[in-house]
Amino acid sequence: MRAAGLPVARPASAGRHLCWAYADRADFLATARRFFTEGRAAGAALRLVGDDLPDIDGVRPEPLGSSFPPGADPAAQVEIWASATVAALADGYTGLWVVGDATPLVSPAFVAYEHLIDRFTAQHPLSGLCAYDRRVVDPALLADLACVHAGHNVPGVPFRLHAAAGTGHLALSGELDATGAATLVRALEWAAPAVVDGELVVEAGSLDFVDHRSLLQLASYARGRGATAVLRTPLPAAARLVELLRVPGIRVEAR
Amino acid sequence: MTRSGAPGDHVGYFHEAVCYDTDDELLAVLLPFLTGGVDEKEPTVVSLGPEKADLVRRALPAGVLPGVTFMTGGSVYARPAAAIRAYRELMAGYVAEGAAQIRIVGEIPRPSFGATWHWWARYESAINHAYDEFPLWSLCAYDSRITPSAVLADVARTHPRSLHADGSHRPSDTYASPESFLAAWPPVAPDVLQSGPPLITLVDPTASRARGAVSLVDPGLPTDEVDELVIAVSEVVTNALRHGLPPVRVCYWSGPDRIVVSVTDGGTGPTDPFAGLFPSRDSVTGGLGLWITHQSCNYVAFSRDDSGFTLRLTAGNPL
Repeated sequence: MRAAGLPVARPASAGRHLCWAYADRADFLATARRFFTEGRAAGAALRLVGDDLPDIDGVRPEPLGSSFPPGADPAAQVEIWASATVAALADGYTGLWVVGDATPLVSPAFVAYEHLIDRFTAQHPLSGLCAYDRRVVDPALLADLACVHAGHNVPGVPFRLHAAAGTGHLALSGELDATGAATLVRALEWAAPAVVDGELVVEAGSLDFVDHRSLLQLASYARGRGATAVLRTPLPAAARLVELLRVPGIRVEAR
Repeated sequence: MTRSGAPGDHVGYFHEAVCYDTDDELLAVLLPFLTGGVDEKEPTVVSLGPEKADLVRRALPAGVLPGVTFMTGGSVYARPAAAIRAYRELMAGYVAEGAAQIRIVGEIPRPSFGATWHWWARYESAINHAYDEFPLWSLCAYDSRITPSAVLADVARTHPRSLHADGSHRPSDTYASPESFLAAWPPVAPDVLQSGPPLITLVDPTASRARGAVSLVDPGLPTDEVDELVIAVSEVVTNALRHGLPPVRVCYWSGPDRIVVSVTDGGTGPTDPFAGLFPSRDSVTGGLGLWITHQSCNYVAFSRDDSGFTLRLTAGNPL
């Protein structure tokens, strides 16, 4: 069974998008150092964003406001990082790896940004380690933020709602049960995944378990969007539960 | 509208037991019942095991046979909650097509008279309610030669009346309403595996941890049976954590042909007498999860004692 903290596989051209909740600043800095070591080995440009941070392995910190201008909406914010990624590639790097302590930026709307940037990293060589101070951030909001990353270290959030590598489709990984039910509902609202031809496709090839509550929630969300959720998963239990429940708004494709 | 045959002015489900001593006695009851249904152009269904189904096929007049629908008794009666669902869907279809009455004869397979009889007794009682919205006349056949006396006593308590070879319809003196019968939970004999210590005991586990332990005790059952047990354990542990009282204790046993999991909490269990047998959309009571559990295990037993409420789940062979 896959631990919630392990990232799902992505193609080499895609970046990694990780959430790191810390209660100990030294722990965060050590994690950031490992992340940069890996990024440097991969030939990527490195940037460190956050207020009151020390240099890390020669990377100087930039104030949050320089990369996250106040008032930028999520799409505009993603555009800033897209341009930065293009610039890094133009400078001969293989990609851009960013460590950011985004604690001061936390708000419900920031969850929407985190999902949008996750979609971008799923298809471009931008990697991010997004750090949040768990002593400050509301636990429910921290759960929402964690679950929209392809990997995180937040206990009690057993699933991840992220962008599928290559396609940018909505993907669900890990375990969906009552533990994460409330988080799933909020994350779906923030992610607002695309509806195409009346279908809301969910890539769930890395889903390890799904219970009936989560299936009902997916169906309810899809119906609210005037769509049918298409859960692509090899889990026989998902198909069996959907067959038992017979609710409109969801079907399972076994793959 | 007056219905054909014995139900006459009866509204809803006309539920009769047929306890027979010989095959001739069974046929003496079934042939007029089935012939009458076909003559009246009523949906007429037989859910018997292969031997009894052949007996009926051979005995039915050639003009009647094509009008009778034969269902495979063994698969219909795999699990009570599944049987209720299948029959309700079947009958809803017949009513939608305009049926004024539906006739069904069924026989619960003999293996169900053993360790799992308890949930079939609950089935026989619950269907008095579950099928009452349909103009159903059904005969539940029991071979007195092989049916234990305790089972026959439950048959009398769960069937309002019985039909006999002489054509008489007799009310049952011991019939109990479903609410009354289902509310009284008789002690359920433990599985013999439970005479030994559990292989694993978890106290207040997350549903995820409780699910994960199933594979650790799996003796090599078919994957789909293990997957279904995992679903059931997840639902029951989630219900216990949400609706029961701590501590929630989950114990696992396994033998060569089965896995047994018991989930005990300090509460009193569900208040709904039909719990598990019908789907409930009421998330407050966890009723839907319990119904899924009944669809996913080969046996589910309830018990209450001073220490709390226990649900026992079995995958594999519960006999």
